[in-house]
Amino acid sequence: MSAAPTLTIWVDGIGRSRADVERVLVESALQAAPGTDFVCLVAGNEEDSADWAVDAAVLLVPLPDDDAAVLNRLLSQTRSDWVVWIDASARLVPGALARVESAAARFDIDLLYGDSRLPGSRRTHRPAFSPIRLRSQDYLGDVRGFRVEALLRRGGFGAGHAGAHFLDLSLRLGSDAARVLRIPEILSVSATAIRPSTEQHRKVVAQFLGASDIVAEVTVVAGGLQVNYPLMSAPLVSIIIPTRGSRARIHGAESVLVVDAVRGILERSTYASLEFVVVADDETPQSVIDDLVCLAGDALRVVRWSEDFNFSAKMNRGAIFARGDYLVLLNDDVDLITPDWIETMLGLAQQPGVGLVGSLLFFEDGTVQHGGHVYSASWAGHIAFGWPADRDDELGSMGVEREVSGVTAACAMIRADTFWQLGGLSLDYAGNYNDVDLSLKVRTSGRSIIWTPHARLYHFESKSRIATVEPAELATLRAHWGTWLLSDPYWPSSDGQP
Amino acid sequence: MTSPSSESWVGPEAELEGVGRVHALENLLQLSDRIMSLEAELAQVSTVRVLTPTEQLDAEQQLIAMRASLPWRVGRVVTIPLRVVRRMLRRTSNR
Repeated sequence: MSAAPTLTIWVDGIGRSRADVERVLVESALQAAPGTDFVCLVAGNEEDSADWAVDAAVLLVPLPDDDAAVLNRLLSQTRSDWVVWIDASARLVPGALARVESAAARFDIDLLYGDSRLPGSRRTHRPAFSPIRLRSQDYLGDVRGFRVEALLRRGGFGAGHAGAHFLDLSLRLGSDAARVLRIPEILSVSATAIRPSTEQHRKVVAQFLGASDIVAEVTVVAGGLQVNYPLMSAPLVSIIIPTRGSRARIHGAESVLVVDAVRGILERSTYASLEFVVVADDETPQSVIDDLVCLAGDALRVVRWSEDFNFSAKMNRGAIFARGDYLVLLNDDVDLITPDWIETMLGLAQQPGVGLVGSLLFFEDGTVQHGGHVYSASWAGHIAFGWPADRDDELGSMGVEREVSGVTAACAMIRADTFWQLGGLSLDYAGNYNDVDLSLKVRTSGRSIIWTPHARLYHFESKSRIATVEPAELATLRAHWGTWLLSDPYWPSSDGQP
Repeated sequence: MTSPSSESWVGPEAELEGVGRVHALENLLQLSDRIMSLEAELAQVSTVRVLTPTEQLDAEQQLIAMRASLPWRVGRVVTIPLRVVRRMLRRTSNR
């Protein structure tokens, strides 16, 4: 372990009560090493704060509306290695600063954050650093550490970001995600797990994306920010659908699943540059093929499947015949809800470093079927499986785009060249876990997997297939990926329940 | 659910140029997948696994939680005689 880093504590009292500020100052003073500097940021001018009776060791800094110059001067005068920012509405738990100091000493990182707890409630597990999520939601909590040298190297505080400075700093330092650390311990007791996003947050994210040469539209919505990535071009997207032409009763009416899935996409999807690659079993009824040809015409490629059932092999064969730059792996028992689902997924799939994109899937009865994959305790499951549509966790995870450990191949988008580079779906998994395996191949290739709640579909899963787990497939999965299945960085509570 | 057709369907099947090209491409995918699977399997048995700082702290916390768990503590108590015998044997063999 290297020498203990020196910390300066910045208590952010903007918009907080004086009692809160004084309490956090006392809590941190009790935990800090001797000689630690304390800075207290408050709103207003010097006259407003003249009657604050703070200890002589605390530097009281009244911030004007345009506060970047003051903060940068403060930063340049800081003698310590790290600035620990604490929102004054939070309560520091005993030992929190020691945890921060220990982590800062052990690892070569620029930014750290940790878990928190709601008053009288259980722990809020914050996900591992998730750059796409941070664009939609400042989820890092009320206690963060910033390496001073890294802040200075990146230009310090930006002008015009009052009220959202620490989101701005987190976004910029987080550009190198490997240098961000989540401490898996409780650092604070916070009044809310997530603070609502404001117009200032929107401006900060928009400016960050602009500076990163990412074209995006950012809007404030309930639960956070929504980032739309407009498409600069309209690449051909191949939708690969394996089918045997099954029928089922959906919403009380008889449905030929693959025909209705294709019809729904053709009639309601707003993205035009599409082709359908339908991989049809030999025994698919002739009427189904005829209907598909009639519906999709030149946009349809029908591929024959004469061998034993193997979902992976069928998908791979579809990919061989696909001509698109992007592939959508789709089950035949789906129906789209959001007409711009392709644009939403494509916008994310085109982001640098993104390898696979998944969507929010609902069962026929409106409960959630898929909110991303969770891999924990040597098992793979779906986040939010069976939740009512309006249920969420304390972090509001169901409303924001976020990194996940994996997504279901019932509806997933991947670049065609990535699919080929990774060897497609593994034939070792004929029925189950082929998407888990693909997801882990994507992640070990250094790419991320994004789940979005803004592309929504129904997945009538139980209507088309009885899900049975082959022990051999699970054993193979564990042999290949055992350590990746032990705990989930992006869903660390690991129980799927809030 | 529908009952499958007894006869194979006919229709405008997609084709690829070149004899055996579909199987060649399927083999290519399969080989790429096999390489990735073997790499993954090798990583599982490797003694050196590079963990990110977040993963390292997470693993340490899991270890702490495991050692604090009831099954672990009960197991430690149950295996006391075994550990005592093992220690005695080790001492004997070192003499």
